[in-house]
Amino acid sequence: MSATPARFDALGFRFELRRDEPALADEAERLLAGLLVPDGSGEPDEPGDRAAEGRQLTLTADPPERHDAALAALVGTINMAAIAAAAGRLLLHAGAVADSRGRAALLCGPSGSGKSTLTTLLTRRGLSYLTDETVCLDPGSLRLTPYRKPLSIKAGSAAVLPELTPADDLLHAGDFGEMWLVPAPALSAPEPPAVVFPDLVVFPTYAAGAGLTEEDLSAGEAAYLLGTNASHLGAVSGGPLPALARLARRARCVRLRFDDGPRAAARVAAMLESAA
Amino acid sequence: MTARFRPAEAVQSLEVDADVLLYRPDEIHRLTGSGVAIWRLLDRAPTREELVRALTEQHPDTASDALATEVHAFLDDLVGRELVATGPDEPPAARVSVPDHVAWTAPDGATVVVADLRTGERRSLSPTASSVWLAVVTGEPMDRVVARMREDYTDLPEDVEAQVGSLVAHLLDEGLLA
Repeated sequence: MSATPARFDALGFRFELRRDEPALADEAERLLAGLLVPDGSGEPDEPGDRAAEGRQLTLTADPPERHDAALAALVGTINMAAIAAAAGRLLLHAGAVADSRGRAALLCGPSGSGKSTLTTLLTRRGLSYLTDETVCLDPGSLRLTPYRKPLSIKAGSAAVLPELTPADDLLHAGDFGEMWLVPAPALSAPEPPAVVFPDLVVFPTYAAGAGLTEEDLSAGEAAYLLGTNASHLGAVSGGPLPALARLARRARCVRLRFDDGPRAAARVAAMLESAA
Repeated sequence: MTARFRPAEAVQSLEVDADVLLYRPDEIHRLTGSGVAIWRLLDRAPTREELVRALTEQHPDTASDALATEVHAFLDDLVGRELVATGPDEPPAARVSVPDHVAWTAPDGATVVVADLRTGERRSLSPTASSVWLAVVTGEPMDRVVARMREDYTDLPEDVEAQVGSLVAHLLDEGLLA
């Protein structure tokens, strides 16, 4: 590890890790690699520029052999701090990927809808990983701020993501119940472009036997669905409804039911390719 | 006293294409179809009966009994969700509008100048009358108009409500408000 402490950025929440337990800290730094601030990078100018700076997060495994629990707790703490730092932005419960032109596809839905699986499968198709859980948008411009947190992969996705199972050395194969955390670089996806805007919003639903069906949504229905999958709506600058409507009108919004992840990912990639 | 219905103060609303989205902390709702028509009519703070009558005019082919049942159920649902508030009946002056033959402006943001396009007559309203005008033409209820005036002016008489009512009645008589 370098002598300079690694710095991380989660939607403007900047922090370092205390190295009281070096082995655990090394593991955490590997897990959080998607959030690393490059050396020489200045302070964040968005979105959480009013967030606390220079925080040092302490990692303690208790009992000592349970690094997995400590890391899971750390990721949970970072998620909460990131959302707090991004107050005022439009925060959606969604995964997101981007193409090389900065066009993003958002995969919006509740836990279990297939967001993380589709997000991961889309990175297999050459798209950049932006986030698997929290999409952060400027409510006025709709510019997207990546939040390249560790992906939460559920055991049910193992069949379509065999290379990302805990057997892989790249992963933190912790015991988090029926899921595990995957560092963003393990996806081997390209770095996202500097400027990203959403051009496609997909509301996925995984359902056995569903085949693959898609339905374009009206702006009104899409804005409503976005609102039901948003956090801290009351804090959105300018009010939540104009931001939701802006996004619903800008992006093509589609309801997608699927039972085959790779096939659904191929369809989403094609939709993004043809997005305006 | 007949209850009137209007959007609850904490509710934000926005029309998105054919739908209306409603937000109140921390809930979001979507109205479609006749729900949108009802929501639009709530700007006038109607009674149930006025609402049913207005919708019957919009949908003459629909049985009025069925329409009334639907409106009542919908209103009750909105009230139950605290998206709509009820209040007592108010004098008509609280719901006035500016007729087409009247033009008005407030060049300094405070003094209202009204022109009757039928006669070409122009007049500047007094500061108090201007405050009343600016409030009522935006649909502000009478009690809020008076409350705002009490904040703006410290020397208002006790019977300010009556005087505001008289002023609005006068403007209605002259055809400057309708």
